[in-house]
Amino acid sequence: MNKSSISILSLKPLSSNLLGSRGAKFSTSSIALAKKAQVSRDQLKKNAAKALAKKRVEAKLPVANDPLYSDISTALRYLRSAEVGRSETASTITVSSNIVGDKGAPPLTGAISFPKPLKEVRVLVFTEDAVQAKVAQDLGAALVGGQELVEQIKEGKLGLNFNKAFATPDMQGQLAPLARTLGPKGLMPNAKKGTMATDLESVLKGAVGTMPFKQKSGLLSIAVGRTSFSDVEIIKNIMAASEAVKTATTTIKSKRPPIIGHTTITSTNGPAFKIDF
Amino acid sequence: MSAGRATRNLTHILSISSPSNKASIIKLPPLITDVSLTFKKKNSDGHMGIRKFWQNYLPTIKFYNQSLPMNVTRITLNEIDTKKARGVKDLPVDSEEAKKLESDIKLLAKCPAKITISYQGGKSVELDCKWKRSEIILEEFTKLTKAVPVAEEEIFKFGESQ
Repeated sequence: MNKSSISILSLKPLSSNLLGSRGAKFSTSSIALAKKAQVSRDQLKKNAAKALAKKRVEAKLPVANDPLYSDISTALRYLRSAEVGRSETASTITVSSNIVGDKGAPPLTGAISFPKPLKEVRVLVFTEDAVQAKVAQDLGAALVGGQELVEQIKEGKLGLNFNKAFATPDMQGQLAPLARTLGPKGLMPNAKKGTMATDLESVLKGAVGTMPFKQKSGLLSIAVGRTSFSDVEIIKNIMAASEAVKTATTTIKSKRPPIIGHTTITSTNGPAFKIDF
Repeated sequence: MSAGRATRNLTHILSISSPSNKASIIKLPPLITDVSLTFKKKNSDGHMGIRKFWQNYLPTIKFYNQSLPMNVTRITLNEIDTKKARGVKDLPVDSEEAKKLESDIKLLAKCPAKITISYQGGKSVELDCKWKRSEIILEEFTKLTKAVPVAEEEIFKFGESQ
């Protein structure tokens, strides 16, 4: 009698323990996981801030201490040797800069007017206005037209080998169906970008003979020449690019202006050198 | 820049100005006005050596002879090459197509692999490079052009002179 009562008594706490532990397991696991995720998110934020601070410090380090640092003429001598026997179009010399900007800052954009351009800048103009069309043609636009151009592009008859496109506001409605064709190529005229204006003369003057550039994921890459260009021509182009990039950093809408980090010069098949920019 | 990329870059730079094989560090005589290489894009018919010569030695030769124009013409006969790969045996014997392919292959085998060296006054010399290894081509090229090795103190050492 005694024994059985003991067993009943001992069972009770055991079963309650089991239930309790089970309940505890279910309830705590989710809480534990949630806490972990919160911590790692905070840590991620901290890590990102740390990485950005490190990038800012690295960008400010003097480039002359880098083992790949070279003056431009020596770098060009190497690049010309590396590109020996390649066709001119397959050996472009490019200058790339690390851009360290604030989180969420817009990409660095602008236009460079090269003393020795790599290729002719072809401008496309959409307008129904005869006066504006005349102005565009006089300023050197490659192709000027209205509705008939829109139709040609829709049907895929017109090869879009243009670098820039402009339009007058009267064409806005007709251009809307072309957004998917022109947009990815950066050729869609837009009032916000300044490529749609009633007075084309003012916008075209700054556009013909200039090359646009845009920062892509922290890197700004600009083609400055071909291996057939002389040293002086390439250095002049690099100076023009440097000036344009520095102007772009001052006009950007950001709390702090972005820092131009180390700059590299390279060619299609050649090695890379750090240079002063 | 990561350490791996920087090392790779330095290796590439040093392979141009001071490669381990010093034989390509040569100065060509000023009488030479142009050096042209002609070969196929595909390696077959003994065209591999000259392609390797272009890849391994020509950048160094160009580095020490900056003002000398050097051209490379790579001949593409893709259609014939792919047909050749497919093989004549797959075609019916004595068919028009088989005959044409055979003649095309013969034509392809005739494609030269050569270096043309032009001198002042319009004279030019050719160096046949078919079925030759790149080192042999370099040796023969140095001999033919009477090129002289660059003095040890004139060899450009990247990172030391700046």
